[in-house]
Amino acid sequence: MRLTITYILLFYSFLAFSQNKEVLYDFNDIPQTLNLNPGALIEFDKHFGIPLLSQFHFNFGSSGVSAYDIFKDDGVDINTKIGNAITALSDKDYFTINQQLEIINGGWRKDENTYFSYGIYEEADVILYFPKDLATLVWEGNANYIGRPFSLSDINLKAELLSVFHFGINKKLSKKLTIGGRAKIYSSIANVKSANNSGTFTTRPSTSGDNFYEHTFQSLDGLIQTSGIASLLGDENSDVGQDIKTLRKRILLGGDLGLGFDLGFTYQPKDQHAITGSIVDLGAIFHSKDVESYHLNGSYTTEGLELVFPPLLDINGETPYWDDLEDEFNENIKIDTLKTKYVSWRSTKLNASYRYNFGKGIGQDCDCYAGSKPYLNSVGFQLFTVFRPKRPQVAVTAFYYRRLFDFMKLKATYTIDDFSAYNIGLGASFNIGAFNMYFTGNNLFELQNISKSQSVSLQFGMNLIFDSDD
Amino acid sequence: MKILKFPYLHLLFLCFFITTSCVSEVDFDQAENISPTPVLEASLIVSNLEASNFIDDTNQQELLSISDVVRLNFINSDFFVDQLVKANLTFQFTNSLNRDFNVDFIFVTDANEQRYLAQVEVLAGSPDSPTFIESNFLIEEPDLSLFVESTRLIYEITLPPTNTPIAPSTLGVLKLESKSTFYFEF
Repeated sequence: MRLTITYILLFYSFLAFSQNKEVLYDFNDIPQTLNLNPGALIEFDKHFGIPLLSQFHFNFGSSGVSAYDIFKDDGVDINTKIGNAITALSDKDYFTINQQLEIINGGWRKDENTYFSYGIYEEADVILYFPKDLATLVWEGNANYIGRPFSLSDINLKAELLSVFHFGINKKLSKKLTIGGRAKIYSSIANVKSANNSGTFTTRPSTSGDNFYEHTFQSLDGLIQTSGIASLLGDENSDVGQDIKTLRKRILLGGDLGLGFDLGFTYQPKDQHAITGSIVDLGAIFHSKDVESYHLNGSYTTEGLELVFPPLLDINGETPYWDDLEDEFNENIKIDTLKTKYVSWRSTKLNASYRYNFGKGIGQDCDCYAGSKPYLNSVGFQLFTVFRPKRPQVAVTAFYYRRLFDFMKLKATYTIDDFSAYNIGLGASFNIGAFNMYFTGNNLFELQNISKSQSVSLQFGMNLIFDSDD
Repeated sequence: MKILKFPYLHLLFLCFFITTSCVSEVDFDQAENISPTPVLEASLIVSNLEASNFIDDTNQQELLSISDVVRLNFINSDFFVDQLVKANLTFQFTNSLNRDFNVDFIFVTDANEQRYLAQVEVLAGSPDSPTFIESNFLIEEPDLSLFVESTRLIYEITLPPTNTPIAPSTLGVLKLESKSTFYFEF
């Protein structure tokens, strides 16, 4: 068994994943479903995640290009392929990385209708929109783009590393309605964000007629905010041991703190029908410690250096044209370093689902899915949205759930999202006594050749689940 | 809850992924060949010189030559030295002075050692009918390695002997426009 687990961990460690956990959502045999909907239907009485192994999640998504597009062995020069990709991608395309590691996770039933859950997890979340104009300028230069403005507004990114302490209550209000809420304290380890930038750089034929071109930096206004990074990168700091101590402190509520909530419900108008919904990570982090932000602003136009042939030259026998240009540029285009506090909102997620249960088991003493004991199958659909800086990412999923044996439950999903229109996912939850192990993954077709996939999602974890019915 | 032969199913699941997953038809070694080749087009220097620029204040006579020097440190920057593969300099003169000029653009080091020379002959024009000269200088190896050692540009205008020298009252302008096209390879 240990060997098998090692293989699985090694194997999955180089997969790429997606922010959406559509297979895990509403998979109520797995305690971690409470992290996606605190109002999920929970039938067990107690659970305890194996520390550091109760959930591992990692995600990479690329909305416009896959590794295969760039690295396919087709004899075409890679620089041509990168150039084509830059042309094909838009500033709405993005790359995301999301990774979570549960440190502890547990829960217990207070009474028949109330279940408490708690935990600590670490999360890294990055979204980088493709800076098309900047990429074009760096890759090709301005020579082929005389007259075209290169915009700073393409620069939009958010990266955060944090730990999350949470406590949730799941309450069955009636036979039909279960609600839940979770309070979260975020402890930021590091944060970088840049959004709402504006301004352009343009090379155009001179309007004054003084020279070939005028180069214009028009109303530049760019801001990059960071917290928790300046002290680690500072010149005075060369002690790695100290850095590790600092990071450890930040993980344990020593960083900038934030507050968030998850809310959710399950509504069962009839045994065979269930509607769920949840909002996750409705919250923000308030950055005040170790804040360093950089504000770029100003306008400037130059047509080159005008040589005036002065009668007097300086000590070097030259006129300080270049120094004057630099001074003028620096006076007009400023980069200010700010220590101003700022707030970063978490990427809030919305989930919703409808489920239809069917197929009765024969004489089984089971703790079937969703509390609808007679039913072994479910079909339905789910909607997932995560709010990102430019626009929400949306995914629609159809699923089939099957309780195959007492010890094995399966769920298959078909998802359409920004990354793919034929994303097949599969999840399995196994129980051996109180020991539970689960895998959920999507984009299984793309696993035929991972390099072609623009996203794959996978979660893996182990828990101890106790149920007095067993 | 029943306990069945869990490890077999477990292995089956794993085998499914292992046997169906791969990274094929790709060659990640291509990453070594990634090399952006941006081309930067930029205005360089300009000048608008009238008769007074060519007259010696002390005796009101035409000068033999005039010059100005501009520091262009970026040419000798690490970025240019390492990444520049080709450069093209374009000098465009519009001359409405009735006077021929020999123009030298001398790229020199800090020690005033010449590294690259671009020469342009500008023919006389008139206020009504200016002459127009455009000269391109493509700098490639082996000249390029010397060019990127330069840090300053001496812009020197020599006035060849003539029977009709410029007088303080001579009308017209010698106008220079210039641009550079830098071809980089990372």
